[in-house]
Parts: sequence; C-alpha cells; structure tokens
Amino acid sequence: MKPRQSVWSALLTLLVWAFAACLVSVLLCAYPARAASASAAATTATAVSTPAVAGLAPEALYELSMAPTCDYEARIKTWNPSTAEVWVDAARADGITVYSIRASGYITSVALADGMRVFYRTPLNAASSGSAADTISPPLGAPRMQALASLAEPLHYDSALLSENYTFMAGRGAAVAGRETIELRIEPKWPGNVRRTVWVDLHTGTALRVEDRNYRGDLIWLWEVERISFESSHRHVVQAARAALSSAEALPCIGPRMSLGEVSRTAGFVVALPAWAPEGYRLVALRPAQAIGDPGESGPGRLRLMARMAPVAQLIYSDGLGTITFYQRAVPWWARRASAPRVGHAIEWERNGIRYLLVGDVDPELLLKMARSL
Amino acid sequence: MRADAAPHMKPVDGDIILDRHSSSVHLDDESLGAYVDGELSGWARQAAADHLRGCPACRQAAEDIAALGSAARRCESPNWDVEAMVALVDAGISRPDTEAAGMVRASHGRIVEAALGGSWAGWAAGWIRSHRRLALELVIAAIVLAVSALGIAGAAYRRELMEQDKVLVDSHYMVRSGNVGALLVSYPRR
Repeated sequence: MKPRQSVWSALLTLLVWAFAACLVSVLLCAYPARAASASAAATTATAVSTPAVAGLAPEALYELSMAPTCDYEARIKTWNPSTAEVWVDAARADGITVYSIRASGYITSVALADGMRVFYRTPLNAASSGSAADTISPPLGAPRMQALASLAEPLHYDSALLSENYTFMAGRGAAVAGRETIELRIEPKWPGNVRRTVWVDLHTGTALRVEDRNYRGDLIWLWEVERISFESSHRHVVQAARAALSSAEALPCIGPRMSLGEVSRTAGFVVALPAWAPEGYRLVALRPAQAIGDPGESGPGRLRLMARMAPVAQLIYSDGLGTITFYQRAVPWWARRASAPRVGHAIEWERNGIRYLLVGDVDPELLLKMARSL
Repeated sequence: MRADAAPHMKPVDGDIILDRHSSSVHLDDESLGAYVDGELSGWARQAAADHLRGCPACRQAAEDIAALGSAARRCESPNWDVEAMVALVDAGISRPDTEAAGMVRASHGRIVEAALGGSWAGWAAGWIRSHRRLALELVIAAIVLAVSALGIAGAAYRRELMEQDKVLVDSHYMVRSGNVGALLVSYPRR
C-alpha cells in the first residue's frame, strides 16, 4: 500500500468515528424529547400525547409541577410527622381539583377552583350517581381530616422568594407509579434550611412525588402518587364539586389580609414580632389562628372550653419552601407561669402573661435564636 | 392530844404562860385548840369549859383560835365559780380598749346597719360583730379555699394549654404541607 493511500484511509476512518460520536451526542442530549415522544406514541389512547417538559428550565419545570394543567385521577399518599400516612383520592377536571377521603359512610372532599375552596361530603352510595353534596365546616381534628384540610391550601409557591433562597437542579429520576420522571432538587442557599426533591412526570409535568427534608436530612413531608390515570372518565367526580363551589359555603383560599394592629385587636393583646429570623425567612402571613376551638363544640369542662376558645395570633414566616409558625396567646392571671425558651423543634415559653409557641423546620438553634430575639 | 386527856394546866409561875398571864393558871394553846375543835370529851371538856367561864383571857384566846380555824378551813376548800370566770374573760375580750375605739366601732356599726337597712346582710354584720373570732376563722378558711381553687383551676387550664400546644404544632404541619402558598402575601422585609 502506498503511503498516500494509507493517509486517506486513516482520515476516512477518523471522519466516520467523528460522525458516529456526534450522532451519539445528539441522541443523548435530545433524550427527554425522544423519550417523551416515544412514550406519547405508546399512550395515544390517553389525553397526553406530547411531552410537556421538553426544553423547560428547572425553575419553570418546578412551577409546572406545582400547578399541573392536565386532567387526572390519582391515589395519593401524604405523610407528615403530625398526621403520619394518609391516603387521599385526587381528581382534576375542567380546572376544578378535588381531594377526597372516605370515612363513616361519606366521602369528605375539598374542592379548589379559581382561588376558592369548599368542604363538602357525599354519601358513599350516592357518589356514583353524582347527587347533590352537603357543604360542611372545614373538617379538623382527626389526622385524616387534618391532612385533607391541609390540602385546602394548595401546592403553590412564591417564585421570587424561592429563587432568592434556593438553587434548582434537574436530572433523570426513578420511576414513580410506573411513570418516567425528572428529578428536581431544590437546595437551600442558607445552611439549616429545608430542602425539597420533586419527581416530575416526564410527559405531563405533574408532580408524582414531593419530599421535604430538614437540615439533618430527616423526612418532614411526603406527597406521593401511588396510582394515576390521565383518562377523562372521572368527570362525574367534579360534578358535586362544582355544585359545592357555587354554594355560599365556598370561601377564598386566601383569607383577608390583616395588619399587626388588627391581629392584636382580635387577639386582645399586643402581638409581638421577633427582631431576628433565620436567613431567607420573612413574615408572609399574619392572622388569628383558626381551628383551635369550635363554639358549637361541647368540651368536657368550662375551663377546657375557655382555653380552647382563647384567641391565638399566628405569624407565618417562609423562605419560599420552609415554614416557621409563631403562635401567641394570652394566659389568664390565675394560670400564668413564666418560663424561658429552650432549644427544640417546637419551643414554648411564657412571659408577661403571654404564651409563645414557635415551630419550624429549621435547625433548632436558629429557632432558639429567633425566640430569644423577641 | 387524846380526847379524854386533861387540859394542860400550867402554874402561874410556869414557863409557858408568863407571856399571856402572870397571876393565874390558864389553858395552853393546844388544849384550847382541842376544845375549840370539839376534840375534848368527858371531864376534860367540862374542866376546860369551867375554866373558860372564869377566865376572860383564855376565853379570848379560844375565840381567836376559832376565828383562825374558820379562815383556814375557807382556804382549804376554795369555792371556784368557773362560769363567772369565763364570763369575766369574755367580757375582757370584747371590751373596747379605749372609749374612742368603742365609739368608732359603734359608729361603723350604725353606718353598716343604716346601709344594709336591716336586711339579711345587716343581720350578718351584727352576727360578725358578736362572733368576731368565728368570723375571722371563716374568712381565713374562705381565703384558703379560694387560693386552693385558683391553684387547681390554674393547673387544669395549663394542662389544656399543653394540649392546645400539640394542636398548634399540628396546625403548623398543616400550614407547611400546604406550602403556605395560599397565604403568601408581600409583607415588607424586616
């Protein structure tokens, strides 16, 4: 073989290898879109036919996952240290989202739409016929009802506050409920704060699993889809919800905005603000705490009822993801006992006839510093 | 001295009676005492009586001894009137220290009675005045009861506060589970 021929042969081989490498790179980079297209082609019978997440930045993907636009019906497991595991049925159609729990011959539900929410219940045997629902007071007390009530404040977020305090990373995630996912990691910029991981459905952008962990890595909240269907056979579920939402019992998800003075007047004492809060946290809500006592509820004793009916001021601090809740309430002079704050995930102390309770997801040392700054 | 023993007569020039009489025989003090107490009998008593009739000095001495014995007998068995003594103590307790204080109390009493107009409260005020010690004890008992009741009520209330704390902690998890999205409003940064 002549030398010139060898050179040409080597160049040709190199060119072939380079072309092959470029082809592989292009295929790898475009994987999500290709995978979504392939999956969409395989599920042409469902309502989802195109990938919703292709080309989205992590922050935009997170936003989509927290406010999904597609209709679905799902079985969801929720967990937090207070309620432990609770299973909830969820359905979304025509812009109405319904969360339901079956208990005591009824399906107790909360419906959310257009910034309004309503609690109602339907007899189990009438659920399939779509009969009229009875609106009820917000269900509270039992852990399952409490979990349902927590869903009345739908997953949402303040994007500016979140971006200010957290960084976003995306990568391929493990399958959840048999569906392919993208794993979104939301990491705090400040030490001691909460971190969140979201597994987002590759095809629809729906959050399939959300877990929050504290500064030590302990799980503090879980939302996990066990079964989900994007077929449109669940529209009957939202019929009762629509009727309930049009009733007088429907209330805005966002309560009336109150100033410090208004809350102080409602509570009957001067509500105090701590001088310091952990990095990234700011006061996002100020209101009289609800759900402590029900005027119609018969307590075991007048004292118990008195304590339960005493007004409580609730201050909510957030960094976009983590939450610190600060409760304040007056104690009658004959039951006062002064105490100092001590480190813990829930810090209670009493001073000048006011009882304080500070609960948060952050490092307890930061929580103690916040308590002492009052 | 034996009851039938002869009274002890002593001569004028005897040692013992020189201080009382100097010109005749007299009964000694022991014999006089026995006579006065009725301890003599028979001829001894008769002899002593005969002598006393004729001797003014011994008669006077016998009367003195009788008077002394009577006084001594009174001392041996005192007659205590306990009820009268209790009455005296009570009178001493309720007696006003000064006349002015008594006037003030009387004035207050009249004012209270006038204000109460003879109602049951007026009766109570009168009862308290007449049973000060009992009233004081009742007031102390009422204070102790009130303090105890407040302590028990305070403890019960605090137990309820502790229970409420748990509910509030649960409420925190409800809020954080909902991610406070619906509550987020733009409060000024501190």
